[in-house]
Amino acid sequence: MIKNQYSELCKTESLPVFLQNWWLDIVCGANNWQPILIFDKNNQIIGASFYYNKIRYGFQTITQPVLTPFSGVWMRPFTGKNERKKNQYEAEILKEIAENLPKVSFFSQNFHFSLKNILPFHWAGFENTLRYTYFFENIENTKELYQGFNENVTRNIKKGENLIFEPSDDVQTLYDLYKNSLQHAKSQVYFSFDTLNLLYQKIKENEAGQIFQVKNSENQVVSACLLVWDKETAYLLILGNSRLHQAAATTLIWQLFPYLIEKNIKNLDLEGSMLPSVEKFYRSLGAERKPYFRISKAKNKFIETLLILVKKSPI
Amino acid sequence: MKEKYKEIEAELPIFMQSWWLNSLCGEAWQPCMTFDKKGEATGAMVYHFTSKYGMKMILPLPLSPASGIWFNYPIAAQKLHSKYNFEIQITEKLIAQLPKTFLTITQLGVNFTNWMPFHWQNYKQRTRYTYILENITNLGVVRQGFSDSVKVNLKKGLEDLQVKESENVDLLYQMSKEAIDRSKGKLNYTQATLNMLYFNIKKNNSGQIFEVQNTDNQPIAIALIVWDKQTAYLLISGDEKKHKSAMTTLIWRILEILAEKNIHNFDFEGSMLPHVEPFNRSFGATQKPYHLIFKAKNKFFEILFALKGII
Repeated sequence: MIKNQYSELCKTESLPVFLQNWWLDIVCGANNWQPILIFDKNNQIIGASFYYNKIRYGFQTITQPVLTPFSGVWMRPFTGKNERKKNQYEAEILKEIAENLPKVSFFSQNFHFSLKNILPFHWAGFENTLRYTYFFENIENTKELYQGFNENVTRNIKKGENLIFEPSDDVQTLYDLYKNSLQHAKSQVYFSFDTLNLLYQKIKENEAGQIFQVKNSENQVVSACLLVWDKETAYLLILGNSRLHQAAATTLIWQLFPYLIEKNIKNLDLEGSMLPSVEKFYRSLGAERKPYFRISKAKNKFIETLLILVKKSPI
Repeated sequence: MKEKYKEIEAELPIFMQSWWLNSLCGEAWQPCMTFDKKGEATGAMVYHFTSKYGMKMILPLPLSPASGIWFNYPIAAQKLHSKYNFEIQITEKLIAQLPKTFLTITQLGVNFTNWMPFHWQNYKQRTRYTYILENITNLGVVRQGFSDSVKVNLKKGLEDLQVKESENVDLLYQMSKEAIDRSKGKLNYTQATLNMLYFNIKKNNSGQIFEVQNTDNQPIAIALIVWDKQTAYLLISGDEKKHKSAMTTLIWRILEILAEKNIHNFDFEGSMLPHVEPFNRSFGATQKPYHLIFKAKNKFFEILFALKGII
């Protein structure tokens, strides 16, 4: 019943792509996520969120789904002009969502950077930490963007002039390149090829994204990415790059801009990483750094201690 | 290093001034600084070291809200990424100067926006808030931004109450203690510390106690305001619970005085307590995040401090 209402909301309002029911069905599994809906006096939905149940090490947890940079909360836009009342309205929705989350051993969720006030969660016993993404806002012309790049980037763009940029549906190549990239950055892939493949079919079905790749003169794919989008923003969800071609990733991102401008998508969220090597690359592109919250809560001191020991604790 | 630090002090906020730090902890503080090739200071940060349970720690000073990192940006840092690069470079160098401790907790203020270099050194971060009323020199606009209840309380207060400059540190201590007791908190400074600090605040023309008196000349609210060039801070306050208009009237009079001094911002000083935030918001103050950054020596001590509720 509540899921039907949530699906209906996804159709009628512009929820971010990562909150769409079809997205959650893949990244969580259809039976593993539950929506939370907040209603006003007139029984109109004014707030929506979800949680993803997962058993980890035998404990009930709520956690961030794979391939999903943020989950967070959708709020019906406040219609008044009074800033204070808007704050109250938003705080009230957040408070209700915090109260409606089931009590589990460990909770962790990322919120979109538009959420600035986490006090209602703080009051409900949640902790927070800030993470960062890099974000291009109001992309209008490529000239301006080019001027914002650092010298390495412009050099790489020139170097990459002979590379061929094209849309593709080759999930396997993307997955392999991504895996290599992460191994190089001493990290690992947290999702399977099957999950990515399934998700990509749904993305295509919903016209919410596309794989792009660049090839060298020998027709080898040297860089590939998965771009997904909603109404206003495109997200660079996965970027895989061959180690030998420094210029390829830069070329790939550079070539995305004309595509976005044509599609009338205003923003590009690079979905930055806190890994030093990856962060450095995104920083050099001249995008703005945006802080977003990761909210978490351990049920008790015992769980908190365990989390510190296994270093899974994000806080 | 303290000699070099003195040379740049004029640029720094009040909570980073050496007279401030000396008043609160004597010599138990150190600056970290970075310099460019020409020897010009490019960044600065201070820390307060202490010993607790026989363990060396870096902890925030009482009565000193988030201070921060001072960046002396080069003219060339125009592009966004150059600015970011500069901030990261400086922050990394400053972190490297922090001594190894059993526990380090530092509060970095609203101008500090990138804690990633701390993350790379295995520190952790939590966000806390303060509330700032900006552009207070334009009092008409400020007053328009007040909520209806603030407006009503102010009108009533201006008729019945008097706000006076005061030097009564004893009363300030007593009333703030009562207010903290009511909210089940604990004062983290002694009266002697407050006396010493206030003496130096006056000596440096950097603050004033104000009190509100009712028609019987009884004090019903009190506050200590300190300021630097840009911002004034509501450092300590206390009031009798039943007088709703007292604190409102006090803050309004203080804003008038600050506007005359051409100080632009009024910082209500951070609190995460549920009843404080609506009060600050009702004046039209904006919520601003600051960083609580911490690191324990190892997992054993991290668990220990977490269990004790210190971090």
